[in-house]
Amino acid sequence: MKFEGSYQFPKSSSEVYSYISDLRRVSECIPDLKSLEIKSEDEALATVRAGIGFIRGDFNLRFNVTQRSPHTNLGYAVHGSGLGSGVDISITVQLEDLSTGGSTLSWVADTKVVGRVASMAQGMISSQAEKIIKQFFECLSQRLR
Amino acid sequence: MTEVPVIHGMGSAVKRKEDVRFIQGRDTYVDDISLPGMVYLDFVRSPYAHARIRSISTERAKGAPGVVAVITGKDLQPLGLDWIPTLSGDKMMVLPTEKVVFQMQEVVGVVAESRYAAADAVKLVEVDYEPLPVVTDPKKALEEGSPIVREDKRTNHVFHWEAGDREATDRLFEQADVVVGQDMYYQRIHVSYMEPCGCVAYYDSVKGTPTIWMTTQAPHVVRTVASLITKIPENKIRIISPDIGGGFGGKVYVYPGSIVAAVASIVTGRPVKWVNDRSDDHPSTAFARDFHMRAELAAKRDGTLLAFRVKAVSDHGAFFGDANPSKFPFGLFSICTGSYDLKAAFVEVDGAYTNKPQGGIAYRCSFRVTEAVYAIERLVDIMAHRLGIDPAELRLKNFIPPEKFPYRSVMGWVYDSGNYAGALRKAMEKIGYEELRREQEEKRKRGELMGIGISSFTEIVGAGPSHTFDILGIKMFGSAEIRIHPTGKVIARFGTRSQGQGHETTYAQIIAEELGIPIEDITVEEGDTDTAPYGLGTYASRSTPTAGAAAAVASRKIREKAKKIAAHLLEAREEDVVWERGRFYVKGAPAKYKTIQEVAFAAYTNHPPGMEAGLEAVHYYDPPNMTFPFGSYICVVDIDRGTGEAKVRRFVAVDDCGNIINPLIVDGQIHGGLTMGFGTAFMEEIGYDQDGNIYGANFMDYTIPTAVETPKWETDKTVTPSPHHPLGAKGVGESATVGSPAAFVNAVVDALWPLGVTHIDMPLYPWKIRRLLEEKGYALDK
Amino acid sequence: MTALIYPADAKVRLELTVNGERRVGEAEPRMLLVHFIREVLGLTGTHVGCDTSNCGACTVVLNGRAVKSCTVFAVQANGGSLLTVEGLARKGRLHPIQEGFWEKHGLQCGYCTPGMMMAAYDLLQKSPNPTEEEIRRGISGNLCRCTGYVKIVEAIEYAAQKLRSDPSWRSGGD
Ligand code: FES
Ligand code: FES
Repeated sequence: MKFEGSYQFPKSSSEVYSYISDLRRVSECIPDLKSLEIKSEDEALATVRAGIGFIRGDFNLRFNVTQRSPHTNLGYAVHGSGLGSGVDISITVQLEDLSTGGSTLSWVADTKVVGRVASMAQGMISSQAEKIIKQFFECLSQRLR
Repeated sequence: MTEVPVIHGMGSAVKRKEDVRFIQGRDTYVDDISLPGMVYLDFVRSPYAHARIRSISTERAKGAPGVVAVITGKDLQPLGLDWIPTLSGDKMMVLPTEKVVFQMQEVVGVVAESRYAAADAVKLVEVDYEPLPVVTDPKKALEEGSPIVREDKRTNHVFHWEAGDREATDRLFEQADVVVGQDMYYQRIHVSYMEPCGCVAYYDSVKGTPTIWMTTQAPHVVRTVASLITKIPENKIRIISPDIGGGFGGKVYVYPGSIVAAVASIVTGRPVKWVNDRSDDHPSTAFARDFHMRAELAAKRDGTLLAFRVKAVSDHGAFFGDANPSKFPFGLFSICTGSYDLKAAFVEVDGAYTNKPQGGIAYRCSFRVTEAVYAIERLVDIMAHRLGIDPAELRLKNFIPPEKFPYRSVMGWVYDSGNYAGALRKAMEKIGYEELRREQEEKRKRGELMGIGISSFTEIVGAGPSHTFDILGIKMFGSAEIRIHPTGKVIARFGTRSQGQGHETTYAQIIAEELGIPIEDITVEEGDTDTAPYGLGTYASRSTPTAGAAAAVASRKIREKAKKIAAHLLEAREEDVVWERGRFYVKGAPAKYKTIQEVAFAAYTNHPPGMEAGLEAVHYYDPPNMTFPFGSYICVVDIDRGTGEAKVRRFVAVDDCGNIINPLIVDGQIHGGLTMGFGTAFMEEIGYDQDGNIYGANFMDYTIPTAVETPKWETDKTVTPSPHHPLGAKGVGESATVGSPAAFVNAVVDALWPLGVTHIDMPLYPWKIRRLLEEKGYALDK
Repeated sequence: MTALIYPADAKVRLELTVNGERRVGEAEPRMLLVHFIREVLGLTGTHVGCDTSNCGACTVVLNGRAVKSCTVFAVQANGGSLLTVEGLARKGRLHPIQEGFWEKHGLQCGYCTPGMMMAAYDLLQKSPNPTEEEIRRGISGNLCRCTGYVKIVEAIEYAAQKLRSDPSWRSGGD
């Protein structure tokens, strides 16, 4: 499943970059966060409360920054497990300055869900995954306004 | 003369003896067993269909409240129990040490004081997986470069099997006027017994005896295999199969749960219970069918059928575990010439490993007969439509005629007896075939879609003769041990295991018939390896043909001895003693008699000098041949052009299973089988996406028929006894599951044929039909 | 109904009438009624066939209505009146529903049977003279993999007839 979107900010791409390359700040936007542990500047561990259909419970996420190209590109990898399921999301973010000032952030998230969640709540997964990922970027964009 | 008591022998529709406990909740299924100090086993299961295990961390789980043991594949390795042999000579993983090969595979066993505590602790086990590429399509699995499921095999190719005469078949195809061919997929389905699999294992460390109560259809086989693997002497292992809530083939297998429970009992010194949740059972126990075939049929223009060939790929999941007789890696698929007198046939099948649980269950089916019947019955129907000959007429023209029995098929099977036209004609008459065709004609003119489908199947059951049939080398005989006690009461034990088929009643009826003892006085026991005679269990409709025959022969042995005792009591010569149900009398003087009960008493109190005391017999019955039940089913459907729903208006089933022991039970077996066939045809499928996620993991997503959708079945019979079975019986447990799917599909395709539809793969979901109607410009909007 | 709030790990003492008898037992708040019936009360005639509330093998009659006991917490039954398959027969006499299932061969493996009979019990109380259609709808929450339902329908018809002609079964019971 691939999802994508883009946002425009009044801030410049380098300002945006410095914000979203900081795992601690980015992590604050993970929806339904229960706990967070920053392991290094490239790795964070998080526990979230997740639910889909009637399957509900804790989900453990490992958040890694996989690519840093200052001012232009960022890559994250999210690996999650819990609820008898596994999730892998690879996210790439591209930043571009606008001629009118401000910048654009475009993101693409490639998501793979396996396990109980995928098999039991198949019909709901893509909308749910999209919702969560969008929430995450919505939150980021709020903070960058 | 005194009244002859009612004994409820052969043919009596007596109500079942076993029901007394079931209707009062006094049954004992595995989950009803509770032993002092018992703990519960639950599993961590893999979310991935294919992944390497980087690490397993069990520390948090071990420290959780109530947890008494955590067992991983590494713990099983030193015991040689991380892999165990399957029934097909392959092996299967119990718990993985290197990688997982299907989604929901058992990875770690957690044992705790309660089932809730075990389920809690399961969540605390951390497994780090490295996902690997997945293959779920067996055809892709056989391609070069596909991910390899089994590293120990280095290929996904399980076997290549062929039967018949390729050249003769190809030649007939070249000469034929008409050839029809069809690609068909017989989807993967789950047997869906209502009672999920489970066991209670208890290892008595003082006596060194493991006892396992388990949901198994074949307890003796389990015991032998367990003994061979563990080196625990066979006499010390006790496998008990208590009441079983449906098996249908799915409980022939031994699943990791039982092995881990047994090990956990040794480790903890306590009884261990494992019972699958439904959502764990569906995705991790064995499946049936999953068979991709290309079938072709050749005929002359006048409708004479000539030859049949099939090329197929079968999906076996990650382990080749089919419970097949060892000489038949693809079961009895070569019965695929069915009820027709063909000149040649050829089939070839390649088996593939995929990232799914093991497949190949003979789901209420005698080893792939279901797929065979589906193939030939679909193709005969397609041929009839292509030639413009009525499907009934084409069948009647090509049936093996009654005078040709015993009939040797081109595949080498010797059919014992049959009257195929008799069954089809009876079904046609009962349903009003001619009238229905006229109605169809008129409806077509009005644009209404109505279809009539026939299936005239031939089964092959009762495995089987020892010269050809064995499982892991053990011959497929049937066994019975009958003891008559001094007061004329009987305890009879069998090596089979009823899962609802009513053995406690039918076996008693056979003994009643042979010995004239009322069924109330006969107790039938099965399923305990400590007491029952060795036997291969119940599946593939083999109980009546094998153990039922053993009961008859053992009874006859007893009668022989009883006759000698009667002669002694009557002071007559043995030749002058005549048997009449329940008593012996002196020829010419029927008033001078001894009842079987009097004889039984004498066997312990006043037996002839020189004779052994007692009245009992054991018999291991080796059937001289298989039996070949058959039947004709006719289905009428109406298709809603709006929703695409195909509604079964009527379904007539005429079955011939030879002589009938209990008509009530036979009827019940047929109703049940038809409902399963109906589910297969219209709603059941286990699917996988390309990542190996299973669809159909529980009763929310895997729909089986409820009372609302299920048609009201109309059944009838013809009786063509088996000439070689001691009772003339053939076995019936599976005829309807085997025979009916083709009738449903034939009916739906018959309705849609004028639109140019030649085939639809099952399940015939309304959306599939609706989509076809749209394509053909025939859909109505509501 | 008042809200039930219990600490998660506390054991709750329950008192209820089961098949006409007063019974007490302890349960964790999260314990399902079916597990309470089977494991605490020791009445194993009620079965478990699924974990998604689809199969009906666990059907019992609670306060006069059929419920799937896997879908109810034990604590919700506190103070209530419960009828299970073990309580159907009276004074050694089979209930007409049990008789019907036996006479008409309404069961094979027997696993769905107790739930099926309790669903029938509820149905026949509401509708003493049901049509075939009503019977089929009445048991549509109960799955049977063995019988194909035809004989279950006949069994319930038999019971309906019997119950109408024998009013002694009508009153009380649970
Ligand atoms: S156990 Fe299946 S509905 Fe309750
Ligand atoms: S009798 Fe077996 S499930 Fe109903």
